[in-house]
Amino acid sequence: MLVTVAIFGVFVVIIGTLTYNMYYVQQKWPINYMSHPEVGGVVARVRRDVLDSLYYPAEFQGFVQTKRTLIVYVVGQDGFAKTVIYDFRKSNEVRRLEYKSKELESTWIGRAMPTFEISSFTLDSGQDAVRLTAVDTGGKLAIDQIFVPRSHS
Amino acid sequence: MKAQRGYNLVEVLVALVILAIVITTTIAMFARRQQYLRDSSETVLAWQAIWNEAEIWRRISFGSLEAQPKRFQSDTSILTPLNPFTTKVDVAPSADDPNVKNVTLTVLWGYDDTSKTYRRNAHLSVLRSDTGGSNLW
Repeated sequence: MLVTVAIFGVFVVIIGTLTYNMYYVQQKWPINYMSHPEVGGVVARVRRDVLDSLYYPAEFQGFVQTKRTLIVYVVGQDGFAKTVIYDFRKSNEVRRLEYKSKELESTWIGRAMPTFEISSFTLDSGQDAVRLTAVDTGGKLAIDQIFVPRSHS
Repeated sequence: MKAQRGYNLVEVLVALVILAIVITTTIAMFARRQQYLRDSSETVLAWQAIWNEAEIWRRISFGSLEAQPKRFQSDTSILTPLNPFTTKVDVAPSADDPNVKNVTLTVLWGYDDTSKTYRRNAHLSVLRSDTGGSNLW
C-alpha cells in the first residue's frame, strides 16, 4: 500500500513540475498569431495591397489615415485602380473595404484578431514602407512586418 | 474459509515495469511537445525579422552591397524573446556571373555556454543582380 502511494505520488509530482514549467516557458513567448489562418490572411492581403500601391490617400469616404486605419491607392492585377481601406478600429475584427472609384466593390472581414497597428517610415533608399504590428494579450510584440511597394513605371 | 492469494514478486515487478514504461513515454511526449511548440514560436519570430530585413537589402544599390554593415539594419524588437541572439549578413558574388550576388540573412539564437555556439539558426538567401539601373531588384 505504501509503495503504491509513493509511486503514484512521484508520478503526480513529475506531472505537476512539467505542467508548471510548461506554463512558465509559454509565458515567455508571444502568442503565435501566424499559425492562425485568418491572421495570416490579413498579413498576406496587406502585403499584396501595399506591394501594388501607388500612394496613401489622407482620407477617403469618411475614413482617415490613422494608426488603426490604412488607406492605400492600388493598381490591381486587372490594371484598374482601386482604393483599399483596412479598418483595424474594432476590437478583434479587421475589415478590408475595396472601392472602385467611390463605389464599394467588396468587403472582407476577419475575426478573432489581435490588435493591429499601422505605422509608416521611410527606408534609407527613400521608399515609403508600411509597418504592420500586433501585440498579444500579454503586451508582447507578436507580429512585426514591413511591406514596401514595388516600383511602378 | 478460502485463503486469499496475493501477488507474487514477479507479478509486482512486471506491473512496475509496465507502469514505468507508460510514465516514461508520457513524460517524453510531454517534453517533446513542449520543445516543438517552442521551436515553432522561435522560428516564426526569426522568419518575421528575416523577411523585414530582406525588404531593406533588396533595395540597397548593387554596387554598395559589400560596404554595408554585416548585420541586420531593421528593428529586431520582435526577436527579444530569443535573447541572446545575433544577426549576420553575408554578401557573396556569384562564381558564375559577376553581375549576381548572393545575400544571405541569418539569425542565430539559443546560445550554448559549453560549446560557445548558437544551437539554432534560420537563414534566407536572396539573389541580387546588377540591372544597371536603380536600386531595385
